[in-house]
Amino acid sequence: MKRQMKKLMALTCAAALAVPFSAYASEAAEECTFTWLLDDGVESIYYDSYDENPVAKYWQSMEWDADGDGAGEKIAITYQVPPAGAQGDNFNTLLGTGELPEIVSMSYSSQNAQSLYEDGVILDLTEYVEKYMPNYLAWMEEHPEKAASMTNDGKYLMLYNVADVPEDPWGGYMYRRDWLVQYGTNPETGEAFTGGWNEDKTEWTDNVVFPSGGSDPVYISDWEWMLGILNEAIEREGIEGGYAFQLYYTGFLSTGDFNSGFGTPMCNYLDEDGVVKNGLTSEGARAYLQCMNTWYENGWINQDFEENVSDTFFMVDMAGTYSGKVGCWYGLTGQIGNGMAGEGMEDICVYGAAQPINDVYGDDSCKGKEPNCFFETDIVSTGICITEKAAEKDLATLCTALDYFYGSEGALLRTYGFSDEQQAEIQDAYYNENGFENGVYTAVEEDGKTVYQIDPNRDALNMAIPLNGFRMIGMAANDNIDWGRDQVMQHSIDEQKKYTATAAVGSTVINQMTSDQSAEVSTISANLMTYTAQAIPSFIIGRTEIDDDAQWQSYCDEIAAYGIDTWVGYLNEALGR
Amino acid sequence: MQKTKNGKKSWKQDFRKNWPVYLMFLPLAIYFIIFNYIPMGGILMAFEKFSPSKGILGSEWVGLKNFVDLFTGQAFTTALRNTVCMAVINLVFGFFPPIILAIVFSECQNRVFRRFAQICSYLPNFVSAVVVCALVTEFLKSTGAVTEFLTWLGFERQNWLANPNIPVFWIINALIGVWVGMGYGSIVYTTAISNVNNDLKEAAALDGANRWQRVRYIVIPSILPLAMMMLTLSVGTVFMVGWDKILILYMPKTYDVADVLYTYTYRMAFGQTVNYGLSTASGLFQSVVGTILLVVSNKLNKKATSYSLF
Repeated sequence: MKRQMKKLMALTCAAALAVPFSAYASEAAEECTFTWLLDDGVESIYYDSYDENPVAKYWQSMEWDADGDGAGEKIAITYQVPPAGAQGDNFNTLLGTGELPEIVSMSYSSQNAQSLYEDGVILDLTEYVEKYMPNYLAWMEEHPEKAASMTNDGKYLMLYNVADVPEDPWGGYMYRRDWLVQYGTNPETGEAFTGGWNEDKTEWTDNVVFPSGGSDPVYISDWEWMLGILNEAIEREGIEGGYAFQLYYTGFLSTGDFNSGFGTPMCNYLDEDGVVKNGLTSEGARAYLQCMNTWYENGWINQDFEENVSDTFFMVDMAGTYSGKVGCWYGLTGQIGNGMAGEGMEDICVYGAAQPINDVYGDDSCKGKEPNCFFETDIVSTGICITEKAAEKDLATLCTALDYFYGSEGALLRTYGFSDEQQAEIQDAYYNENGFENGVYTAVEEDGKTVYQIDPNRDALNMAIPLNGFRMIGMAANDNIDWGRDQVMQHSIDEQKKYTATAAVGSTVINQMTSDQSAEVSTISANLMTYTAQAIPSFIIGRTEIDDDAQWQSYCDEIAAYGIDTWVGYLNEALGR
Repeated sequence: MQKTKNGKKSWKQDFRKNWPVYLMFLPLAIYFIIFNYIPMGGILMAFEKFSPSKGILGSEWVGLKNFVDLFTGQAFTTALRNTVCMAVINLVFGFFPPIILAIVFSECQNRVFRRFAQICSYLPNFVSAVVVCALVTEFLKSTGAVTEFLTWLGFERQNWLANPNIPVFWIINALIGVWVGMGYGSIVYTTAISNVNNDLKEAAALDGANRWQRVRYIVIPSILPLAMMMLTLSVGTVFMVGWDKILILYMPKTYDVADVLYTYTYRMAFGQTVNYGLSTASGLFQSVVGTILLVVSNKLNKKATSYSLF
């Protein structure tokens, strides 16, 4: 009797364990079994292991007919998640001990793909990509400007994450629109502006007009007019320690933000001919510094900006910003609209702004140029490599399966999760348990195109990552997404993504450098960062004179002495690989 | 009992007799071998273009190139000067306060107050560097409490941490070290003072010595060997100069006075790619210099006071 009870208990336990996996029963052959080292997993409050991710399970339940012989194969993946905060150490330990699994995410690798290939750690995937990854190749064909740097000497060593269009910005320049309405006057008629929130604070209307004629700032002259008003607002409101424009401690952003509108980004950038150049010593850089120096002397910039060294560029002086002491800053989209409302700031309205075009400082070569280099999520980002351990495995099936995430259906699945239709068919238990019985998005036809409406609960409940398959590789589906944003938020984001960062040098180019070049560039970059972080604030504050040719030349000579030309040369070499 | 030629017991005999002591030492020996001696193989990285995938034995040998890169770096000389100056100031500022505090504690008659004061003085040692730096930043910013006091004394109002003039940052760094380490450092001296023979003090008191004279002629000479040992030990780690706090507190405006070898190496080695060779070379350089200083200071101690560590 006792023995029978034991058997019964064992069977019951086995059945209970089998239930959650029964919907996606995976019977992959040994050669289709892989281990994948991810960059990050999902917090344990959602589920214990990424193996339980709904998208991953669904993907592994699918069959892949790589050879087209009608016999599909499933793949089985075991996901390894490194300890949070120690991903780099974990990667190095696995690399040093030869324990890297078959698939490795490369975000935390201390060596680039080229270097790992030279050391015999990873495989050349060219044969498989060309034969089994049509979606990946199609994307590369559509984006030849990016495709050039996605191979190493014609070899596919890494499979990159890509996107159909750039992701909406998570931050950008923003300003106190409510102060413009309250303290500004029409630049032509001199009449006071009017405007404000509707009752439920979902819509803001006003009649603000900038000197250039539009309702949003476009040119530096617009910004100067705006900063004058913001400065006046701070004075009239008697805000102690307030300032109109917030500047990062280095005095400029090495991503090209704000300064690329002066004709030349103050960083490595691609010119019209696709050649890498550096703009730290350009006339555009000098014009930018003349502008910042003027603004500093006008008292518009935080006077102690160079001392805020522990802040990140999108969170400078957060205490000051949130307490309403700042007129214009680089911030997070969550601050837009009424996002910073608090005691005494109930009617605050924050508007997003496009990066400015210079029309005031420097010569003609520095004026009238649209910003083309700034922080923007690149449509190509680091991805995965396949290690030598997988040499004997079924890479044809693996690549076919991975390619699914580069197609439109797979990209939506990876980026968001199950649609209403998919969930109706699959009835994923995790989705049902967490209130997403109707999936996370719905496809609707609007003006002759398909638009994907995202369930706002997904973000409100912070469930995006647990529900989607974004930890895996593929394409991000960013186009035609309806996020259900309110008017101010949508307008602000549209302004912030008004221009495209066509001149930015992507990480794919940097990954093409040899290990020797990377090491040398690292030293050059460290020296340059140290120097510019001292020299550029000096120009802005006026310790060195930006209009003094001798001092400017001395700065240019220093930059050259640190080996900027070598760095640029290596990037051009990498670009040509 | 069997003895060796010079009359001492052989190791085997000693082991047979005292094997429990050797057994107790075994875990410690294993610990040091695993965590201190075996990792010394990593020193080889200082002479290699180290690649994690090739390992220490497989990476390319580059001789002294990493040292050349280190010594010819843009800010090396400035960092070396700052390190040496801060090290000297830290030694001078940091040596006496724990001794003085321990003497004050030992002379304090109110037991409850003494215990309370001792605990308060130990606390800063257990506060993390980040919190210490946050407090220092708050106190020294242009509207901070210390700044207010200094302004009241007639100094110009400013963020003292952003002052690029010598030796402001050096003194701030030394005072942080004193504040953090003084109480904890006094423990060892307090213990030594408590072991001073009370009969000596009583005899001196009977002979008419006042409290200061008893401290001067009995307490201080009694703890002098210990103080010399502590000084010698601190000389060995003098180059560390509280670099973790400096890394948090310094800024481009004060690089010229605040950048030390550790922070300089951090910027150089942990940039776009991690340069293991350079960072190991820097660590080795500082260890070698530290060891030389330790040996020299030990010799000088022996000559000057006849006390030595080894």
